[in-house]
Amino acid sequence: MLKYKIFKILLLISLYTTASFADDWDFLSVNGFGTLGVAYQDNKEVLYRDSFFTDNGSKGDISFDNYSLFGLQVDAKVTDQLSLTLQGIASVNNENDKFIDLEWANLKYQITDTFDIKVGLMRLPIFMYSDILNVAYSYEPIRLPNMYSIASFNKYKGAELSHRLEWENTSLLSTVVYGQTNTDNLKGFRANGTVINSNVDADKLYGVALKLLYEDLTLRASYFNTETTVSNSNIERAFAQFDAMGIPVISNTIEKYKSNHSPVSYVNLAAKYDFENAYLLGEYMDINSDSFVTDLDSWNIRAGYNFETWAPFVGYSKSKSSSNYDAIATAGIPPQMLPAIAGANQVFSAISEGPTEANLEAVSLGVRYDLSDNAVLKFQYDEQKRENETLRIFSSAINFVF
Amino acid sequence: MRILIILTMIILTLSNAEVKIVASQTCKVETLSKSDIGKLFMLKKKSIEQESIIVLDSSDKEIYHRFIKEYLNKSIRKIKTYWVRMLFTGKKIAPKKLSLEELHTLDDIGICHLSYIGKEEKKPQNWKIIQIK
Repeated sequence: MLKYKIFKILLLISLYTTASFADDWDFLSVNGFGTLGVAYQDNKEVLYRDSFFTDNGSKGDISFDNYSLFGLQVDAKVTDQLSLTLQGIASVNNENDKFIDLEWANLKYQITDTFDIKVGLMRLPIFMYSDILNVAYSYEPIRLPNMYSIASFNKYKGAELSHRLEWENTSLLSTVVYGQTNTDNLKGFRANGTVINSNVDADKLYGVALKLLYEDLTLRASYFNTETTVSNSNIERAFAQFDAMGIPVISNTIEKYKSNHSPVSYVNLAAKYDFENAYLLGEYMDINSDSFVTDLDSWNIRAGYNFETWAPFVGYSKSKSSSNYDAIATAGIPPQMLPAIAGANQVFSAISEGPTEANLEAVSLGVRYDLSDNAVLKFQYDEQKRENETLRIFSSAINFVF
Repeated sequence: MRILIILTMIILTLSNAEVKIVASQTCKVETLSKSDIGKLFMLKKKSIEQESIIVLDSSDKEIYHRFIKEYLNKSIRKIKTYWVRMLFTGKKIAPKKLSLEELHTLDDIGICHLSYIGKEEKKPQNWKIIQIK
């Protein structure tokens, strides 16, 4: 309810300041962005969606849910050093099943021209485009590669320090973050079609992102770590039932693999080179967990050419999950316990299985066309090879900013 | 024939004319390097020799595009997406865009403003042309 009120206030301020009072509102700026997008894939058995936060998308039909969103942002300059940013998004793909959600709500203190601190709610700069993911106007494809969809959270509450070092042709941007985040109702689809809903709490989230810009070359590296607790009633029930059997080797395995304040690390490496009219970009990520939660790695490569008003692009991406579970060894175990251990192995192995969308290979082709200074039209075709099927996805979108 | 050659030379000179960087009356700065101009207009720097500077972009699309090519050495699309990214990640807001008329009537009130114009003769009164190092 509060989110709706904030969104209404943002909208009213937007209308008010763009009306005849603009000069009196110089300390305040209101801007927005959005995407009106459509996706179609012809397989009625498989859902093509844009994130793990939703079960909306194209399932053998035309869907406006995959990409469409609307965002409004208010920036208020309190003093020369202190400013406030509020950004709200309306989308069916938001975290925690909220149609309207706040993405940014923070105070920034500009200590020097090159050093600032933010406190509040921020997007997590986990990958190269994570902080700007919702503003598709700022990048070429309609949908960024798969690694952007499989992260279990996008924003956090905490503090962020940003520093920029400048030389003649080189800049080094450093961002250090500390905070916490949580996601409810993360929806993981398994190969058999079942959906596993989980709540993820990430405490003691810390990390650093470094970006080096040297002439036309951009290099990026980031590392984040959290203490993660994944809650899922089915998994907890299964663990409780096996624990109740009183077989030490099973109980020890549960203790070892359950995700209760377990460390999860995120590593990202990226490089981009801008030629005069073209670009080449590659990105790699690795998510590593010390629990039954699957490890993930993903990489992608993209290239594009900018003509005056239109730009074709191609991309290839691959994602893979690997289970953290090792079967309980049965050597030396009394024969009467073997059926229980076999059952536990089967269940634990299934729990540790990665979601279907974490194992795929995709080829993308597309084009961006500039409609005006503030709007672009995009078309994209993706062929996604999953474990059991290949999806052919046709997408189109208009991205705008104002 | 002579008139035609002169006309062609004038047209060529005008079409190749560099965008001129101009500073308001208050500004102490007289010369700037292209690198400093780039940093000031990308808001990576907000002062020169301890003098605070407010930069103003041109709302004239043709002059704005010429300025980007000549001084920032980037494509128009790259600059557009740069400012979109800066804005929607809460980092910084692009400089205000003013028309030449607005620049002429700008109330300087002791603040050093830096902007640019397409032709030297359009320089607002009391403003000065910045020499490029």
